[in-house]
Amino acid sequence: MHGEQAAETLRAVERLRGSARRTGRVFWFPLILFGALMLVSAPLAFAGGVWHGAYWAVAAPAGFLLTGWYGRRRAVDRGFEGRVAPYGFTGLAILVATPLAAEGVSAMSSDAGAAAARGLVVGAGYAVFAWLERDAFLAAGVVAVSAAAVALAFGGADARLVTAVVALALGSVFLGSGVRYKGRYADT
Amino acid sequence: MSHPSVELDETVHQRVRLGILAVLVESRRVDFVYLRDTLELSDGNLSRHLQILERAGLIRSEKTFERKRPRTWLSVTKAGRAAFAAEVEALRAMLARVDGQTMH
Repeated sequence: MHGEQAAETLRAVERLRGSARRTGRVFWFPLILFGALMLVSAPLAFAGGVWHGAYWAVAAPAGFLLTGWYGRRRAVDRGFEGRVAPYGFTGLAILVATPLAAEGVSAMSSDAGAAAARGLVVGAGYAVFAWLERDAFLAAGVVAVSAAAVALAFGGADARLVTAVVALALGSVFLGSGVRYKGRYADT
Repeated sequence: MSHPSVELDETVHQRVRLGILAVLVESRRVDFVYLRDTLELSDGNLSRHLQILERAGLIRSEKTFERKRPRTWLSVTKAGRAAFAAEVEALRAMLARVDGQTMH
């Protein structure tokens, strides 16, 4: 085999891999879904009471299941199922770690600290998603929101305000990233 | 030092089979029709190459029945992933060797 043939074969392989990766991309769906869920949760957080917690107790697992259903349906339609394990594990980790981190910080510190901890865990989870998707826009957004959440909590802001601001900011970042993503991969 | 072409695996190196593995390594599983259309092959041609890869233990197939239709899903095995990576590595080594010779 000559060098030119080897180069052509490698180019063909990379073209196929790139096309397969694009086909497997379904990440816009959970971004838009959880972005919308976050935005809806902001007024509930600001109002206080049990509704915000109750909302997420239902919305988070429902969103997770809906994302799985969408991915499965799309795989059957397209005949192509992308690699789901890293996304599934990260999503599950966010679901489990968010209330645990908030409880832990609340016991040691303040309610505002617990609100910031929730934002940090969700932000860290989405930073993993951003890395998996090589999405600098999403990564920059979640880092900025996480830093703002910590600054607000340390600045003595009220827990309800921290939670509402984090929900609004993360919701906007997720929604913006999802719409951008959907536009970039129009056929997804 | 042996020539990098010695490292090429005959089963994997064939152009269509390398293409099949290139698609499968980026997925959890892919159905027969998607592969056939992506690689622009006939049913018979694709089946022959799939049989060779499956016999070598590089891919696995799973027959299901979805929406009242039979369907064949294909996925790459651990050995298939390793064989594909080795093949790409051998091709890159070959290219680097040619580039090196051109520069001298």
